Amino acid sequence: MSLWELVFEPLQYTFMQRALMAALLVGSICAVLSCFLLVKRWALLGDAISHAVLPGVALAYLLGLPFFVGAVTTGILTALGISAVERHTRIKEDSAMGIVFTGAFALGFVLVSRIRSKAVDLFHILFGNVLGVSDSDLVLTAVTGAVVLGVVLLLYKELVLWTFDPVAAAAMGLPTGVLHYTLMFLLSLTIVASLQTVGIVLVVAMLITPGGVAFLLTDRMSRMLGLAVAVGVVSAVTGLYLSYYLNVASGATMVLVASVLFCLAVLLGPREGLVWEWTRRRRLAEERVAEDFLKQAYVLGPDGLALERVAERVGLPARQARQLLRRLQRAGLVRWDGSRVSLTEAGRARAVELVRSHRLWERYLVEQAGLSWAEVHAEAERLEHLSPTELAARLDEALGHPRRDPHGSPIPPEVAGAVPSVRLLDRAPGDRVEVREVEDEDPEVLRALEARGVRPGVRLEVVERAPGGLRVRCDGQEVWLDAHLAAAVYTHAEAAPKTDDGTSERRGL
Amino acid sequence: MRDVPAIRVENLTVSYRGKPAIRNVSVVVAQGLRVGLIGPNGAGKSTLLRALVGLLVPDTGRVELFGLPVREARKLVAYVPQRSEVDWDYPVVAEEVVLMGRFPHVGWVRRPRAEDRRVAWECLRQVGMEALAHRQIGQLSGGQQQRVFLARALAQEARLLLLDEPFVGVDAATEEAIYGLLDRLREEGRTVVVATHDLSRAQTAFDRLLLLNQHVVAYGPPAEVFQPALLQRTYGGRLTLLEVADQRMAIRP
Repeated sequence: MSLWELVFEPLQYTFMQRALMAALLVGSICAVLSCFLLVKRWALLGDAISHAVLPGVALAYLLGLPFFVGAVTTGILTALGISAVERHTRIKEDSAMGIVFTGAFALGFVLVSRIRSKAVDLFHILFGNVLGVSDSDLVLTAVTGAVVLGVVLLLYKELVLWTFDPVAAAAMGLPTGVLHYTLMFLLSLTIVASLQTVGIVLVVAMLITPGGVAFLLTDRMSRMLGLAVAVGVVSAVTGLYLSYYLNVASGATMVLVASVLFCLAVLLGPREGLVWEWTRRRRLAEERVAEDFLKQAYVLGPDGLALERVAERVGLPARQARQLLRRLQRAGLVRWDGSRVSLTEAGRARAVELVRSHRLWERYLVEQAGLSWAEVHAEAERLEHLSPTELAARLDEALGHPRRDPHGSPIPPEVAGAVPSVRLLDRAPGDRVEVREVEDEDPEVLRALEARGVRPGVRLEVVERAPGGLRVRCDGQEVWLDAHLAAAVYTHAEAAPKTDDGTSERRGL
Repeated sequence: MRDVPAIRVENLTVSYRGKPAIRNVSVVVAQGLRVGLIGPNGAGKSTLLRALVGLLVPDTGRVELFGLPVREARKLVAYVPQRSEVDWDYPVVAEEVVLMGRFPHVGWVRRPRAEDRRVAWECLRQVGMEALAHRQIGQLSGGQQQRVFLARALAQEARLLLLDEPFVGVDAATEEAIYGLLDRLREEGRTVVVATHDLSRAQTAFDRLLLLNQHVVAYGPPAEVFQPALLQRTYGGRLTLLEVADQRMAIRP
């Protein structure tokens, strides 16, 4: 069956045509009012009035009057009764509503059970029967809709001012009491007009949910009204078709569709939507990984690198590394010749910024915040991603333009220098050397080196090499360095001048 | 019209929640003055302001604004409550709030015109809020919200502005914006009444001071009214006065 047939096949029946019209009307009228009920916090009042309609219907039947007259009368009486209880007793609004509407509803129930007639079908009043909408029902709904929409359009500015700031409205001379009862009257009318379609119990959903959905999606009342109408109409029409094809209660199906739309708004809404929040976090995390990739590619060396090597440093599985590589390629940050990856000019610039901010932060955390050099690497890993260039410039200024970080690594634009470092492990016994840099990623290693007095700028003499490590003289004391500790230490390539006072040397920091 | 006082209050007694909050208040404020309304908490400052805009009905006495009863003077008065009790989640942005101030000029049923939007924008600009014009009202800071409500009062283009404790809980930027506004309003010949606790600037920022403690203790230029004896009577024993050289500085306990 095609979509066309799905939509139009049911419309060959007159009752479905009328039902569709009723659904459209009720969906949009209720939606318009729902916006004002939401901002006025009158959701419960809608519930109260809808229940209070029942005795009106019963009385109208007993007195031979049109249902409409009875329903509107008791609806408005209930609204007035609630105001009276609230104003003249110490009972607050919520309890006043609860007391008045349950009383009215019970009265209606008693009357209906006394009537015991097929003319008043309790089930239909309570839950609606859109498929049984008559032509006169339809006319009634249309007239009601015209009145409600007309009044809201004419008094839009006044209603917004009053619902937003009643005090200012009164000070500007707006008759707030008149607006209050106008809105109550419109509410009663709407509820009565919706009875046949969704029924007493469910009309309140159509009077709250569309406004609720729209409220989550926008910051402006005018747009909220439009969105609410869209939600109301979509819920009513979709609900009608679903109930037709699934052969289930129509009013309840309409409400269910509205509820589903509400859940979607909660999940996907632009301001507080959960999915949005989730993707935002995910995107931030991705951004960090991408930055780490650039930084590692820069630190590992200027020449082409195997992708696996960079990925391993960043801690990225191979498949994700390839995805990231493609993304960075598209962004013009890296080049890929099929086997090796290298940074473009832009990628390099970005990486240098990150390294600079990282090393400035390390320096700052040690010097100003009093952290130990063993702890700062991890902190700087986080901070480097959150530091725009201006902030790095301020840090640089505050620190007096340092050239090296606490571990001896150059802070860009300071460069590593033409002469490469030599690993302490590769030195021979008798060499006198100056420590230039220390690997900063493992806090344990840093703590162990610190305990032995090994830090950038310190001069060492290699005493002996043994399997598993080195013995060095440091500050006149001999200390043993395990191979994994010694591997973290880099020395100046040129042998340090063999003076003992140490004053002639340039210190690394 | 020029000669008519902006405010004429005669024997005004107003009750708030069943208790008289101000008694037998009589005062005449000429047009074009900046008036500081000073008194301790519970002195009836807010009550007086609310009675002036017709939000409270007097037990006895009369209020005339520009020679008219309050009901007929609505277009001439703008009122900014201490802390607007509005729903801060309301789907409305700053610009729309200011536009609401145009209501008395637009009138019932009609839509605001381009001219009204222009005025609203100009008022937003005067309080330095044009950059945040499209921010939802709840997403502004307290001081920014206060400035939006000030802009709304300005947009009313009223000849009398009543500001209830505008300096409470606002940032320095907002405070300066408000004082700057007071000067500008006087240049335009508009009358402003400001309820305030800020005694340190009361002497310089206002042309007249109204000392109120349920009844009028004194009304006059700061040089005459800002006297230790009168302030003591206004605040009861609850005021400490520090005399610094020639200048008197008052500090509330």
